[in-house]
Amino acid sequence: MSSTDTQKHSVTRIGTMVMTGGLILLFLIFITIPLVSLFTRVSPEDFITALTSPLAMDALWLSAVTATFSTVVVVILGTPLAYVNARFSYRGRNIVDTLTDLPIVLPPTVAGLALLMAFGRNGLLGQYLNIFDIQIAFTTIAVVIAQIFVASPFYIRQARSSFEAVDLNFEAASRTLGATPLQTFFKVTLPLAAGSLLSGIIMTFARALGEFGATLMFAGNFQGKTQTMPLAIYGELQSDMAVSIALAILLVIFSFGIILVVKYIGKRESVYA
Amino acid sequence: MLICTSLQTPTKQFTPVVDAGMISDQKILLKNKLAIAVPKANTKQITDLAGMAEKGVVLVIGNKDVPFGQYTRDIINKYQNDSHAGYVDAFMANVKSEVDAVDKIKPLLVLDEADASLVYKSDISKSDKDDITLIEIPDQYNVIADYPYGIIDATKNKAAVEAWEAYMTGPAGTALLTDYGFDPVAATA
Repeated sequence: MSSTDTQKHSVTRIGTMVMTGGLILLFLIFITIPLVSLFTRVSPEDFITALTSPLAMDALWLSAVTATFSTVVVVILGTPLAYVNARFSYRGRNIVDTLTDLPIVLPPTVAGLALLMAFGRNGLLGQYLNIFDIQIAFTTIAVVIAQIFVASPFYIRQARSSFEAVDLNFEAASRTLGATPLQTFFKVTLPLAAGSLLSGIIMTFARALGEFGATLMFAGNFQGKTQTMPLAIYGELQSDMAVSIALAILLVIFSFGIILVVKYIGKRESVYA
Repeated sequence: MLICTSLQTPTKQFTPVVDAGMISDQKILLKNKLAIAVPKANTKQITDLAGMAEKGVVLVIGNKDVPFGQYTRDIINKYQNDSHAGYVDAFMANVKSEVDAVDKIKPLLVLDEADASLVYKSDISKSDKDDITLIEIPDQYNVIADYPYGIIDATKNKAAVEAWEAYMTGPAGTALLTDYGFDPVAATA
């Protein structure tokens, strides 16, 4: 190779690095500028006052509890579906797959309306529950249901590709060594897929935490019972902008922290993989 | 012609114009008030304010930061002060959701997922009337807003403006305003 060729390669290499770096920087700046500008609009005193208000405490607690609960339910309900779809092909699998993706396509307010028409006191299913005096709409349960509905596709999609990526040979080996399918799943498949599953869980949690339109329509807006952080933020926009921004900052910090902690724990666990 | 379309008493937006001497003759075009909105089916058979505080009634109202939510609270307090002790607590115990705009209340009434609400009469359009019924509130409890108007003295189109004024205060205009839920003043004059 002549020296000019080597020089050309170096220049191209540097050019690629610069361009890649530039694009990355551009995107990161785009994401962080709106978040940073939130922080510049509220003074620390206002922030503390807003933080300790009953409104904020109620909303944060409600959001944390419901989003966690919803994520757990999605994992429990979604894992078997994702695994079956990953391992077995059957007639109608594509339809099932598309069905589980559908909540993403629906605008959240429409999703909320649909949930109301299904589980409200006059709903398709709700009218029968109403006979036993069981009302779902406008309760905390409704918040969880709305979150599960809109956030489940994120986990199920990710879980399916996670399971598909697990080498079948390991599962086969486990079976030949005498393990049952269930033992194989928990001791071989799950640990191997864990890292990938975790990112699906994080996305589901984040989506559940940020859910607004469906919650407002189906569960309503009532402090302490159904007013999650996004609803509280939206509500305060009309009365006290400073509180609204403080709550938004709180939500950003909370979400950021949770996701970081989960990623850290995930990294430590994946030592086994 | 300048029409003030805010639901505050004619002070906020309109008075400055009058004070600046731009309008010499201030008149009221129409009034807007709140009313009880119920689904067509009205299974809880609500006919008045009292019915809204009955046990088991599902209410969705405006939140305390928006005008119609504040007026809702004014109305229920006025009603309680007229020897209906405990009304406000009973009413608020039935409130399941507090929203910022009537567009979030209407679907709930149409689907019969909520039993009643207090909204501006004008918020329920003609097409809504198929699914939502409005029940009047006695004026003594209600919050009534005047919508003032006046012809700007410096107008160059006095004839056209006066023709418009004649139309709006005449039978055709009055019918139109009533259709849309307002209470035109000219009708009672």
